[in-house]
Amino acid sequence: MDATVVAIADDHDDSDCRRPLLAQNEEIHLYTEPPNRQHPPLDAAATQLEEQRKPERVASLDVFRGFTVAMMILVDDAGGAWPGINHAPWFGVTVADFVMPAFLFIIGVSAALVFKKMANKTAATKKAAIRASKLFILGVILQGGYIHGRHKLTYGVDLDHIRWLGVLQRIAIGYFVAAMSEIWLVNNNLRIAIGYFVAAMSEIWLVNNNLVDSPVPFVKKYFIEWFMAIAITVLYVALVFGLYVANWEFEIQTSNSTLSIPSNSIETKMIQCGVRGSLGPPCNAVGLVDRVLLGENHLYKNPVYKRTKECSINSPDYGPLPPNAPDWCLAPFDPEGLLSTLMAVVTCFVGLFFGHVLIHCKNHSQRMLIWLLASVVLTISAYLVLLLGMPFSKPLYTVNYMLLTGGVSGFLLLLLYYIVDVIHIKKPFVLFQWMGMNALIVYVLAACELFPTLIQGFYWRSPENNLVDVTESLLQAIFQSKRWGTLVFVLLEIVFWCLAAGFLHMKGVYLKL
Amino acid sequence: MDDGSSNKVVEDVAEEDPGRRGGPWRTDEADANEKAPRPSRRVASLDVFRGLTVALMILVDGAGGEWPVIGHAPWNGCNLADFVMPFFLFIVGMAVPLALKRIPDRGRAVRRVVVRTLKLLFWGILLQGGYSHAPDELAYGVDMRHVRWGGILQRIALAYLVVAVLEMVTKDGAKVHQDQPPGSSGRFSRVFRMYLSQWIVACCILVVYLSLAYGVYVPDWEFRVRNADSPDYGKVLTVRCGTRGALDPPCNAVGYIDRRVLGINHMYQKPAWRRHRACTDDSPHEGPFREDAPAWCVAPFEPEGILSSLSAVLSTVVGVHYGHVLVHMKSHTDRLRQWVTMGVALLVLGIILHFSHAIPLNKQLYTFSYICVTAGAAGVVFSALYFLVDVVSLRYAFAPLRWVGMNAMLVYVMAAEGVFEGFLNGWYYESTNNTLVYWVRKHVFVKVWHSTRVGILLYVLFAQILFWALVSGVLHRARLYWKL
Repeated sequence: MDATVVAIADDHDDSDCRRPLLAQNEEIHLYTEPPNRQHPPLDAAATQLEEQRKPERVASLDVFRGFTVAMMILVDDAGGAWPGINHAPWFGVTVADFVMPAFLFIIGVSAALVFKKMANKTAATKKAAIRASKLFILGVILQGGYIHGRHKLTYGVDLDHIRWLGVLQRIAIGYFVAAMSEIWLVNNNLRIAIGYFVAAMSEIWLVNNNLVDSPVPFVKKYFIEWFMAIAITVLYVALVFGLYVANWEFEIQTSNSTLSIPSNSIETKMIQCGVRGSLGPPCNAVGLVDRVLLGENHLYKNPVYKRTKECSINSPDYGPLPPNAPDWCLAPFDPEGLLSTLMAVVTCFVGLFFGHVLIHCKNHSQRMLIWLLASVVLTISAYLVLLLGMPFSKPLYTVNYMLLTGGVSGFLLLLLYYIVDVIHIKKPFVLFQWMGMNALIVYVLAACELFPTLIQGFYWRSPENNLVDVTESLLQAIFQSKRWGTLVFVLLEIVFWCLAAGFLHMKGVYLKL
Repeated sequence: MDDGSSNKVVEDVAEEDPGRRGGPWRTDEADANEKAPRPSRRVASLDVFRGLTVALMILVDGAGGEWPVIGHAPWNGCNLADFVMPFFLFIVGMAVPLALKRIPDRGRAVRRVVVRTLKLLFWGILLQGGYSHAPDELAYGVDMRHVRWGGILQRIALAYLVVAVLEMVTKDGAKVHQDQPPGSSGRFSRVFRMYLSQWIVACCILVVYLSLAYGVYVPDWEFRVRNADSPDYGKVLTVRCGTRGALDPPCNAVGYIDRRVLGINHMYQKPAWRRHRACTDDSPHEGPFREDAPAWCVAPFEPEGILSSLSAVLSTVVGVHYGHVLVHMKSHTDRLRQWVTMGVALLVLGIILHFSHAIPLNKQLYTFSYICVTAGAAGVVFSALYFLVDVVSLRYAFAPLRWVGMNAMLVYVMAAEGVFEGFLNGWYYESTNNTLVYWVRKHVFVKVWHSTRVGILLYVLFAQILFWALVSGVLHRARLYWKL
């Protein structure tokens, strides 16, 4: 029995893929020592500095990326059978809600490494723009409705109803903004001076454990980036709480079987709002901006709030509408909307900060200490904002949601960095490392379910009798439980893609945009 | 329109002209006297020939429905489309000696041949087995009980496997003859004698084919109608045969063997004989069946069947011989003399067989006369291209065809199999009939010329052939190729 590929629970008729991805597999070089050092190094410092001068990939970044891809496959395909690990219906966070921010975070970290040296700013800008465009186009193809996914042997999309934004589009935007800030907003006049300061500070630190003066040149160098992140946050808060949301309406197709002849008709639903600063599903500013700028026909048709108590009798799972369900349960809403993408960009800036620490700190202890401090500050800030009254909400990408997920991503990176790159325990994580090195291929084929979608085209007698569905049904029968069978199926799927990525790695095949 | 029985692509192998060492003034020197390493140069005319064949295939696929003289002959006869598959097999055969000119490691070469064969089989079943519905339907998928096993790429895979193994096995024997001093009378037939064992195998294949085609008894047979549009849908129809040696559509041995080995559910459901004059009054166009049409008109038939693929290997063997001439003869004059002579001889032999009613030209059965005519035509066309491209050096005029030939697999999949059109048709506006492909075909070609036939022809020539030639040029500049 070969559990080849992806499955999805029966509850998920729409197998849309909504998981982020990092598409950079470029070589990552650590920061090199400035050539004209005035002070001879201490023996211990010299040893560590010599070790870190050699250019090499940071294995923990690949492991982080691979782990995130695996989590994405798990929550996407098993989330239907296990609502506890699916996305929170509206307010709150679950395991699934940490996956996309982790991707944006790691994009920021990688962008800091990729763009730390540029001979030509214009060429680097062009390169970043081309890569972002490719990601955006790929996102439209994969999530715009063109691919119909599991359980359907059709494809194609009406351009009048195409969904413009999605996971890859958000990643493309975040990547582009991070790249632009790295290329144009970094204060490069202090580069050489920073080198001196960092070297001197690391020496002093080794002797005195004193970090008092280290942040000063660091802050100077990246002040504009920090200002940009704060400005985006302020803009987001101002729009979310300041925009007036008027009454709005949307069209829905209803089938009326009152007569003996069933007929489909278009019905218009009116949503009463007339409020400002609401964060609920129907009257938030994020939805308003998307309806105005993108158009109602180009939003996600199966939003997550269909699993709220107001919209599903099976909450927190999908289910039929309860009696007296509000009309907005049937309305579209894009979880990767324009306004929420603003805060997603800030997550990339958090990743940029962690990447800068990786570049400018020369020893493991200093990096890990700063990362730990940053993660703690982010997490505490998240709960402070929660106390102020803003709830966690992944569809809205609230400020404290951004802070919390950024902090958790920082903790995860710190942990993996310590295990993989400091004490060099690599063998248990080699599967994730392989997947992280070919994250785009695994994302397209597994998380977006392109591979099982293609495999299901070979069936026996009826389309449900294909290798993917039969394998999942077999596992569900073996474990006599749909939930556990699906979970085992998804775990086998993850192992399959780890090995597939390992095979590609062995062959030297990488897909780069 | 998707004509599944049309001929398709060839895999791309690295070809090298051993006689060309940087200048025409050195072409007559004996190879044994040269010890300097020879620069690797592809045979440009072979790329041009492959590109021409791909272009022909796109033409006959796209315009064959409107222009019957371009499309496949319903049964006996030989139209433009019927030359495409033999040309491909010829090119495959011609590339084999160039690719296997030096075999440092036989085991590795065998592994490479097997892997390539498997890839061809995979893509063949994927593209023509029923899985791909491009470009006409926004759907995909095939019931494995009705998958079609035969196809263009499968036939090419079989022929390639046979001639590659044959070439490797007979490679050592050819060296003995190569050391003999060439005489003026022996030079012309030396290439024949160097590979005499290959010709013996080819004769054995021909004998087996003729024995089976004329000797197998074909009993009555029946089938269930699977065409939902037919008024007989679901019925079980019986075809009366009880004959031996017949070459007509219902009672030939080729179809009989395929029904027994492949299974009637795994054969091509829309054979070209539906356009036979016994089946439709619109012949040679496709049209509704006549009232008194025989039962076999709605029956399946595999134009790339097992027995016909066996004889198709002979087209490849002729190509191998042309490749041997290219490898072992050093002057343009000797090569062209050998090639043209053999090409004309094959043409004459095939035409005589056909018009004397001994063996008719038939693509579906891949008859011996069909082999002779198409292999001869391939030889003559290649000789002309070789003269124009490699002798007279008219390379720039043939550059677009050469680009297509260097990326033949990609152009075959995208253009000839309609995958690219199928992809574009998925992006429609309000109705699945509002797509870029339909719009261009209708408004830029059909309406401008006020004729569906002329519009379709020009659409195929410009929007498909010329378009993919330019795409191949861009990919060539970027050094991007799809190699099996």
